[in-house]
Formats: sequence, structure tokens, C-alpha cells
Amino acid sequence: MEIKLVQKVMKVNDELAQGVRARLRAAGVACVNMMSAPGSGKTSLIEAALRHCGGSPRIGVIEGDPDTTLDAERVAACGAPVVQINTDGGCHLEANLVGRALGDLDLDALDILLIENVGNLVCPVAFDLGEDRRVAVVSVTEGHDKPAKYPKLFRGVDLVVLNKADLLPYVDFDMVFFRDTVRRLNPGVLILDVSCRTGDGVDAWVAWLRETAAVADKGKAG
Amino acid sequence: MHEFSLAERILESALGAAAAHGGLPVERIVVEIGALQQVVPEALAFAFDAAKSGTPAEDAVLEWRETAALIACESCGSEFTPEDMFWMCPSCGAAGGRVVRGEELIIQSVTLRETLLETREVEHGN
Ligand SMILES: Nc1nc2c(ncn2[C@@H]2O[C@H](COP(=O)(O)OP(=O)(O)OP(=O)(O)O)[C@@H](O)[C@H]2O)c(=O)[nH]1
Ligand SMILES: [Mg+2]
Ligand SMILES: [Zn+2]
Repeated sequence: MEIKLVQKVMKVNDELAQGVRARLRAAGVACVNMMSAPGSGKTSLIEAALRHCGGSPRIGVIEGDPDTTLDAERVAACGAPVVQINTDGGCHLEANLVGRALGDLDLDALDILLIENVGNLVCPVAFDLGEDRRVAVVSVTEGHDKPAKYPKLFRGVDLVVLNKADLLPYVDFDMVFFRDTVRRLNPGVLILDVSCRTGDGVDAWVAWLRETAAVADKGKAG
Repeated sequence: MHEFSLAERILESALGAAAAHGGLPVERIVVEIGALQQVVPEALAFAFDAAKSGTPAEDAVLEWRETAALIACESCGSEFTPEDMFWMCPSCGAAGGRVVRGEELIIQSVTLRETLLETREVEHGN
């Protein structure tokens, strides 16, 4: 007996993500899904934003890692509310995990929620978490060819952060190739050069977060 | 390797369909995989085989159909299948575009084996 199911494999995740989105919208909280390879500097960017933003926007954080609470501890040390999710070895976050984590955050005290996904350039891309915007982080030590090798991630993001710019003198990073690839994959996407170490570019990163938070606020009013 | 989480989802749906039809064993599942999904069909089938054991789908075969990508140019509106990762419109040369097809990840059909029912009928007949 053949049953014509015609059902999206992602159906359950997509529905849970819409639930997350609705809860955040109702509270006027913008949501950003940060994706990168392990060690590109996602947590460092969150720390830099918390240290430089002077409390505006009010940032909450969900940390996704296969194991440990190390990243949550770093974020908590900056004074931000944070929930650590451990995926138990899992290679990406899913909407059900984010939905559960929301219960541990006071959304009324936030303007923006940063979700640090598990370090991985492939799997997180497939899972909507309920975010408004996506960010890809690449560090110069990973090489200029990463957008070309992982096109799907770079096609679907609203911001590309090129981190560890302070290390450019020490690596053969072809900036022209990198920018050209990103632009061809995702015309018009914003690319920010940042060094969490020297603080260069952190202002622009914070400005982008403020603008993202303001858009969500407008959404709530309208 | 998110193929494992996808395989679990597919298994759940198939078992749900089987449960809705008297718990018949699952024989075959057909999934449609868009070319723009970063899913390796062989890896998905492998993950499915690992997930299915001990369930009413343990003898099931996972089959797949691949759908080619189709992109609509946002400058001139023409539709094309991209030749590489850069979606360059062959008509006007614009980069990027909107996905018309290729993002599918759909369980198209589940085939159940009806032998169990026949066996039961025979048993009742005795
Ligand atoms: N030189 C330099 N090092 C940096 C910079 N940003 C981060 N790092 C270092 O890179 C390493 C990884 O940074 P994290 O912020 O932990 O990276 P992550 O992306 O959160 O890593 P995972 O959560 O494990 O995927 C740390 O040792 C940081 O100190 C930078 O701008 N310049
Ligand atoms: Mg981290
Ligand atoms: Zn065109």
C-alpha cells in the first residue's frame, strides 16, 4: 500500500522555529543566529559586543556547544544573561532546543538575542531556529576559500564578519578572492572586518546589532 | 552529519504513517532531495539504515529522487539552472537570484507491506 505523504522532512523543526519567532516578536526581541567553523571567534564577538555596547542594545545569549559550559561562563563574566545548550555531540542547534532555552531568559529585559550555533559550516544551515538574521563568521586563519567551499551558508546570511583581521600580516589571505566570492554568492551582503583582539571593527559590529534590534522593535510596534 | 537527524525525522514520519494504518511494516520510503540541499543521499540512506533497526521499518528501503536547481534572475526574470555555485544569469549576467526549485527535502511516499493483514485474516479463518 503506497501512501502519498508529501511531507517536509523539516516540518517539525520549521513549526517550532515559527513558535520561537512568534514569542520573540511578541516580546520585541530581535534574534540573530551566528554560524562559523569551530574557533572563528563567535564567542569573542559576543564578548566584544557586550564590552563595547554600553548596555544598548540589551543582549541575551544562547550558547550552543556539543559539550561544556565554557562559552556560557565567558559570556556570563561580561554580565549578560546566558543559557548554555549542550547538544551531546550533536553538530547543530535545532528549534526545540532554542524553544526550551527561551524559558530560562527574561525576554522583557532584552532587545536582542544572540544564538551562537555549534561550530560547523554545513549542518546548522539547514535548521531554522526562529532567527530574524543570520551571521557567518570567518577568521582569516581559515583561508579565503571558505565561502567557495561552503556556498549555502554564505548565500543565506545577512552579515559576514571577517574576524582576526589582526592576523592578516601572518597569513596568505587573499582579500580580493574572499570578497569577490562572497559578493557573487550573496550580492549586497555586508562584510565587516573585525579584530576582537585589537577592537578594530567592533564599533561597526555593535552598530549592526543596534540596527537589527531596532528593526525588531519596529516590528513589535507595527 | 545532520543526515542522522534527517534520517530520524524521516523514520518518525514513516512510522507515523504505518501506525495510522494498523502498524503495517514499512517497505519503502521515497524522498525528494533538492540539489541545493547539502544532503548526501548515500549518507542519508546509511543513517536511515542505522536508525531503523528494531522498528516496524527495519526492512524498509530508502529511495531518493533528486530535483535540479532552478533560479529566477531578479534583474530580468529569466529562469535558469545554475552551472556552478555562482548563480549567474545566462541572459543578463546578473549575480544571485531567487530559488524556484532545489530546496526540497520532502518525504513523497511511504509504502507499507500488507502481508501482516493477510496473515491475520488467515489466522481468523482457522
Ligand atoms: N588573534 C586573534 N585571535 C582571536 C580573535 N578572535 C578570537 N580569537 C581567538 O580565537 C580562539 C577562538 O575564539 P572563540 O571566540 O572561542 O571562537 P568560537 O567561534 O566561539 O569557538 P567555538 O565556540 O569553539 O566554535 C580564542 O583563542 C580567541 O582568543 C581575533 O580577532 N584575533
Ligand atoms: Mg564559542
Ligand atoms: Zn537576468
